[in-house]
Amino acid sequence: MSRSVVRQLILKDLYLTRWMVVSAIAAGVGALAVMPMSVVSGYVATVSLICTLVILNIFLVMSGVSQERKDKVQLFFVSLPVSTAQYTMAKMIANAIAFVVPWAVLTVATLAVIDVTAIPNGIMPFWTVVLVYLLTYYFVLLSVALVTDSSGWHGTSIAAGNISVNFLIPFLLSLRSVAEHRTGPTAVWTPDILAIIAIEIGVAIAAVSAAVYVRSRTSDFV
Amino acid sequence: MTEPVIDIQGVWKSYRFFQLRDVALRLEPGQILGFVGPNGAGKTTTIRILMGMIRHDRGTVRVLGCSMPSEQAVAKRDIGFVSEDMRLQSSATLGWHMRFIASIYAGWDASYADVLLRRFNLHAEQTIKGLSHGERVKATLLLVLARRPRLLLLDEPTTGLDPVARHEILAELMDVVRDERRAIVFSSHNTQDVEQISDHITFIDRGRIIDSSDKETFLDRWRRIHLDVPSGAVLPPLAGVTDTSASGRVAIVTTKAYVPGLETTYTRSGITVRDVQPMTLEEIFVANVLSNRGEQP
Amino acid sequence: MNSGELLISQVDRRPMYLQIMEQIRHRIAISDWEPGRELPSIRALAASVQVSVITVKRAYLELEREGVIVTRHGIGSFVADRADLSVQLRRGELDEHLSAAADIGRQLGMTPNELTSRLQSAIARGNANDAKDEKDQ
Repeated sequence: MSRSVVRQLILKDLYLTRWMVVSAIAAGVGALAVMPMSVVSGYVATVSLICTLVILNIFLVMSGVSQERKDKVQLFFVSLPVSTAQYTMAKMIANAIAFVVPWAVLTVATLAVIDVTAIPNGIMPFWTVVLVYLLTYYFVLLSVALVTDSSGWHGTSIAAGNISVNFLIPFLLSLRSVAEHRTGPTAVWTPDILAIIAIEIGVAIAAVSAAVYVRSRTSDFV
Repeated sequence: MTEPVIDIQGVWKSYRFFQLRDVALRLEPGQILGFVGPNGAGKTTTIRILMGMIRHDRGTVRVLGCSMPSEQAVAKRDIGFVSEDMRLQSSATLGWHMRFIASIYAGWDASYADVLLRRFNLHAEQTIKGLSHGERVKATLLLVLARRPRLLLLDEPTTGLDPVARHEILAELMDVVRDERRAIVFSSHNTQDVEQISDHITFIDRGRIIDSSDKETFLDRWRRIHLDVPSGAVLPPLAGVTDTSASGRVAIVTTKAYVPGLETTYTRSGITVRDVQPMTLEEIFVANVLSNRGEQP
Repeated sequence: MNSGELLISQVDRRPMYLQIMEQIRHRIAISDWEPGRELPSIRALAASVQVSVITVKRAYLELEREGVIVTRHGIGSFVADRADLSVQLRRGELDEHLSAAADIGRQLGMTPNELTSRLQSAIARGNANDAKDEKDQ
């Protein structure tokens, strides 16, 4: 019975965040629509797309995890026939789906827009790194929120994530592999680009694993 | 069906500023247990331990035959939990919650749920956000009652409710024990409600169980004895006296070991017994806690 | 088996089980519940009066001890099947009133004769009222 309760909890979370997910996709698609029009609109679209994913990130984590804990609504859900560990898993999975789905749609859409329009395909590796970075940022924030109650930690993570995006972009643009190829007609996947992507994915997995591990060691759910 | 619904022994739990020490509780089917204690005594911690939300440091915890917290997912199929600090999903409606619970529990009784909606004057279309405190408590209880769980764990269910709402809720709770397989833990510092419907009462203070007995025994054994003490007479010491307050020639003795005929011990010493008064559960509760704290500062 | 008429007073400081016993005895005394009639089950009565099961159990136990009810294990509790039960209980109620009257008389320092003549005046007043009611009808 508890497996179906886990499924109900996941569905419940997805249901409650449905509008945010749809809005994020819509905003992202809107940004992508204007991206190819001009250099200026390209910049505006870039910023908008990144912002959309960051806002989705923060909203999901804050309303889905922190608020539920702060409001003690979690007491209601954890009184269901599930273990506290299963409740945490359901939260993790639901929140992962709620972000990954729009993220995947927008990532594919971004790469497709770059490919189909006049935007040089050489910029694809850059975009891939940035988008995977946003995915990693999400999982790190989610993991922090699942492990700690403290709004101090949440605030720090959000600030750190936002600031780091501002450093990431200039850093990437300064890399020789990016700078050389980004205006070219084909995407060039150099080893350093692939390494960065691998690190990002590794960090995301590590964050989630750490959160699951820490959660399973705590004896007090509330 | 003699297996107890709740059986916990030697439970300890330590926090930085608070410790639950050697807690034992036993609840038989068909019983209502009144769990009484001041704020911060450990009632909520104990109930969370029963639910598997907190893992105890020492001792054994068995609820509905399941070892907690390891088997909590199984036990909670038949437990209804309501806690005063618990909230429902504020953006959703009561109806959404009802459908959600119905999708999880096979025992959901939709017609009883409708009866409770009417009795509690609630509407399924109402959003939780718009409910008053009393309505929210009644909504939470409805979600639990309509499943007909074998065990109800209620942490301050009537606190902050108006007398009419309390009356409605007590009526539904008494309805639960028409079925002698079901049981209720009613934790509260509202002693009036506890006194009315509990079969067994356990007092807790500062992390320790200080007294536990069936309700009628408490009411039988605790008395306030009003005495006129002539000058020169000395109050004979009696076992079970928890407090003596004397002023001039008048003394009031509080005892927890009253038996009919106790008065003669005083009259034989030349002391007049003016009145022997029974005590309400609230008076017993306060006297019990204060005397216990006097012994163990 | 209408048990909804029993009502427990919050103001009455007497133990709840005594109140329940008194109300049950009274129903039998005024022949509302006739000899041999089945009493509500302990749990049903507890639920309808909203008083703990243990209290109702105690009331039933004490009533059985007094011979007012009979409990057949596994079947239920019944009003004792004695034809004179209601009369006996009614007399018991009368005795309680008379004891209270005697106490007050004693406090006032009355002699037994004074108390008896006051009782006779009360009886006469009652008869006069009955006759007046009949005439008015």
